[in-house]
Amino acid sequence: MESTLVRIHNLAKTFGEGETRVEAVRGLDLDLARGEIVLVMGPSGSGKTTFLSMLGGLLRVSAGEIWVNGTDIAALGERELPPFRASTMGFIFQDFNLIAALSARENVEVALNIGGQSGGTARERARGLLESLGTGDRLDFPIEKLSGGEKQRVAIARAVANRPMLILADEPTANLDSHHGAETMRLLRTLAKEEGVTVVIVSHDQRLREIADRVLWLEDGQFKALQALARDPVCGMLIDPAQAPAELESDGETLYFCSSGCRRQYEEERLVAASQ
Amino acid sequence: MSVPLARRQLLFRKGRAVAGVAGIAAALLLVLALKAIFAGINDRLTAYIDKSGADVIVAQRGVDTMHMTQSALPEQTATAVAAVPGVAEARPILYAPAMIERGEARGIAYLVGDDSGGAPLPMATGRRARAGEIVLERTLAERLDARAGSGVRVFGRTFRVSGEVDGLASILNSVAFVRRQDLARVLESVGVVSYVLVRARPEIGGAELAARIEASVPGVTASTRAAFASSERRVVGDMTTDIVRAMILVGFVIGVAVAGLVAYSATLSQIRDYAVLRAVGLRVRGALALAVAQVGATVAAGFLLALALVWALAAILPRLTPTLVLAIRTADVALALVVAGAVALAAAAFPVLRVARIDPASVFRR
Amino acid sequence: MAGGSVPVAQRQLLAEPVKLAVTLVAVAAAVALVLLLSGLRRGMGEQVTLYLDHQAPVLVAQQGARDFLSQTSVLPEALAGDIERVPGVAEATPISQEYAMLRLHERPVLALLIGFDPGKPGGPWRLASGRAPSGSSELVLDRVLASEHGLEIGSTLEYRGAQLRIVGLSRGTSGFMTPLAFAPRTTVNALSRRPGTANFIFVRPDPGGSPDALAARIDRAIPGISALTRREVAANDRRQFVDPFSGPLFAMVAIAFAVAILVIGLAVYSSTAERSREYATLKALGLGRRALFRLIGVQAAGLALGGTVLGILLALTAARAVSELAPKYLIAISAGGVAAIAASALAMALVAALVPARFLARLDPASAFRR
Repeated sequence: MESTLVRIHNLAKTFGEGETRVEAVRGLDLDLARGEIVLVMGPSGSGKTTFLSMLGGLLRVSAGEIWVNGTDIAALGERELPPFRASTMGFIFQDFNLIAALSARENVEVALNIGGQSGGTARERARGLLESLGTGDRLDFPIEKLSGGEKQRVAIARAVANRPMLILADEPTANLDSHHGAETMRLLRTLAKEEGVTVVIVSHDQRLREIADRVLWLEDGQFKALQALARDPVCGMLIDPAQAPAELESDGETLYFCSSGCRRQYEEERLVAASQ
Repeated sequence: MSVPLARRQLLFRKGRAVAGVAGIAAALLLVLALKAIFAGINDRLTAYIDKSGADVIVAQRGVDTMHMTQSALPEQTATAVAAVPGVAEARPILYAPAMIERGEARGIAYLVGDDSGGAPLPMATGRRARAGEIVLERTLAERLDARAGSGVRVFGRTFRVSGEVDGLASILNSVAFVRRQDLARVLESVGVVSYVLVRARPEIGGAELAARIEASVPGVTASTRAAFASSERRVVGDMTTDIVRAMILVGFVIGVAVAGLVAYSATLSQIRDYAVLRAVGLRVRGALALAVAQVGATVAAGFLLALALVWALAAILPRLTPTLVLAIRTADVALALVVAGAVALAAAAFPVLRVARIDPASVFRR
Repeated sequence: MAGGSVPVAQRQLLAEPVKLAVTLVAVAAAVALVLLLSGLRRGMGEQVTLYLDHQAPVLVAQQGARDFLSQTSVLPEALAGDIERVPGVAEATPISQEYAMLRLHERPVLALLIGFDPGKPGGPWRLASGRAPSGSSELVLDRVLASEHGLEIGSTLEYRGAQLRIVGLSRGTSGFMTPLAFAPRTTVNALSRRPGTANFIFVRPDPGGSPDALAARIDRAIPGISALTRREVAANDRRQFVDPFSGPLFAMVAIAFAVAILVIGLAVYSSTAERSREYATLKALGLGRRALFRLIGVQAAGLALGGTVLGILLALTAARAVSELAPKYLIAISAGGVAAIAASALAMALVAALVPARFLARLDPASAFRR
């Protein structure tokens, strides 16, 4: 099996015409390997959601190709996309997007139905997934009775139900506390490393850097060269040097910090190291 | 409030607003249309009497209607009535329902047998009936395809169509004119008349003349034209009261259901907005006013649409069914307005109850 | 999605019970209205032939006459004797009949007055109380009409200048427009100043005789008359009476259907639009177009069928209640009418589903990602 799952070539998306013309994404090239976790970051409005939508076959490309497991989804017809999505991709949404009228189990089950399974098999698999995620005791609860963390777990169960090759997650930790956020990160990492699922995450959350194999910076519709970005030596955050809140000259190189707090901490630590 | 908040909220979901207005309009239309149909029947009911030029109608004792009514007076009564001081003219008529046929087509008409073949009603085409001839109402003539000169069969005899009149037919019946002697022979009623139509001299009023006639001529009831017409209308009114009431009930139920449905989904989708407004400082009363204003506006728009629709129906329906004439009366419009008001009140209950319960702190909840 | 899958449509419908209830009530009201109005019209038709249905199977009328109620027919009463001499005739009974506008409590009240010869057929077939009229000023009145206007045995009412005394109340003679009253034929004739006449002559054939054959034979034998079977006269009467109401009924039915479709469409559309995020998600998950439309269709069909069934039950109950509380109205709901309504429920659902389906088709699955 080829190790590259996704090949993106010259991807572009333009909205509007004439005066209102906006190039949301311009000439993106990217390869994603199986089992890889890629984190896409960037300022609001940089095109991250547009990119994710195109990758998931939810938005038509203006130009370019997106090869997922050997199929150019940009060339698939309207009728071929839904079954392809159902069998190949899993989605995790920022606001969970669970169906309010269904119970926790039914939310997972409906994804299985869409993927072609029905009856007892679907129900059992839904139950199994939820149990393995620790929400086995909430199977028949209506969604509104679940906590944020529980809802996220149901959403993840739904995303993996049809054994997708690619998971697209939009701000998966945004509405969670640190405990559940960490748990979500753990789950995503397990999926990638143990099941070989490629995970593409769009987020502002710095913590996700910890599990990412690659961090991409999307700005003005293009992946900025990573070399152009600096890392804060204290907290590890990626910073655009041109807009760094704090910087420091040290040993002939410029260090960039996410805040004056990190820089102070760096200076203190250096003093401590120097005094030893 | 300078921002027309209620209007914006209402129009935010255009589809829902439109559907709500349309549904309420349909519910109110049920009432308006039915009332208009009955009013139309009523108008045509008295058309002949109204246009006959009679100030007083003399009938057999105890009779003050024409439709579905029998009245028989000896022919001499007409002479006796004519002799009463104040009477300018006394025209005897025979009046009987008859089936008018031409080929396979048939239609019922009230046959008026008078001595002039249709006077004083204006002729639409042709001329008044002479012996052996008949004047038909236009819609019946069309249905029978019996234009001037053609023959129709009445009581087994052939009558020649001499002309047409207009504006006398309702969905219930039509009017036709023949010579009194022709009708009397056919009905074995020679020497009998049904009514005497009396025109008063200018110096005397109808009511006074009617009283005078009753006092002078035995065995008759004399009614003013207004009283006679009113009695005729009362028959239809009494007969249709129950149906009208039932229709009002149904219209109300459906109206409340539609308005309630719209208010319900509108309120639910705006719950967050209400909470935010309350958090920002809007009082409960203000929030309630907002909810009620939306319901009120929807119902009001529905009422106006219903009016427009019944008006359109009144224009279109007679083209499809010439005898189905709608008459839109102010009293009926007022009735529909009352029903609309009741609908708005009832439908507003849900959003009011729901909005009153909103906790402004919920804005911070997920 | 195949059977055994999550019933999403059903769940969506049941998730908002108040909305579901209100929608069903509205549809039920519209459906019930249609059934009740058409049932009333049909019932009027049945009531109209009430008297005829209880008489002999052959009818003789004035030449050219083909209805009992709608038109005038006048015959010399001596004709009955001629008719009885026609072979195959067992008995010929002259009858006078007229619409009677009674004046009760200053109001005009319509009844159908039958003039018959006491002792001979043609009079009231069942009495609730009292006796049949024999004297010239005596009257038998329909029981329901009498009680509606506070009349009883012994009451007098004035009709066309004559004082008539009620000596009996008849049963099974009630009608919305034509409740029956019975008086001696000579009385009725006198009031119309038509002595020695009858409006119709009912003819009873010899046992085993065919009414159609007898009518034809009488027609040939006697000039200047029309001989008809009761069956065809009844059919003509029904048609003449009921046809004029077709136009108004059609208008009301059309409005009622429009309401039902609108309500269902509104309910389904608002649910869909309010849950557009969820539907976008389902689309993102891979739910295809056909499955989505089926979702909408099932919801619309559920509402339509539920409302229709409820409406049918409501109409049947109301019809029963009316017959108890206001027996002069006959609401005759036919099985055919119910079947037609049930079939139209599906049509309702289809039309109602159009707008929400279009909305769903255009729904951008990428909107699931939007904040």
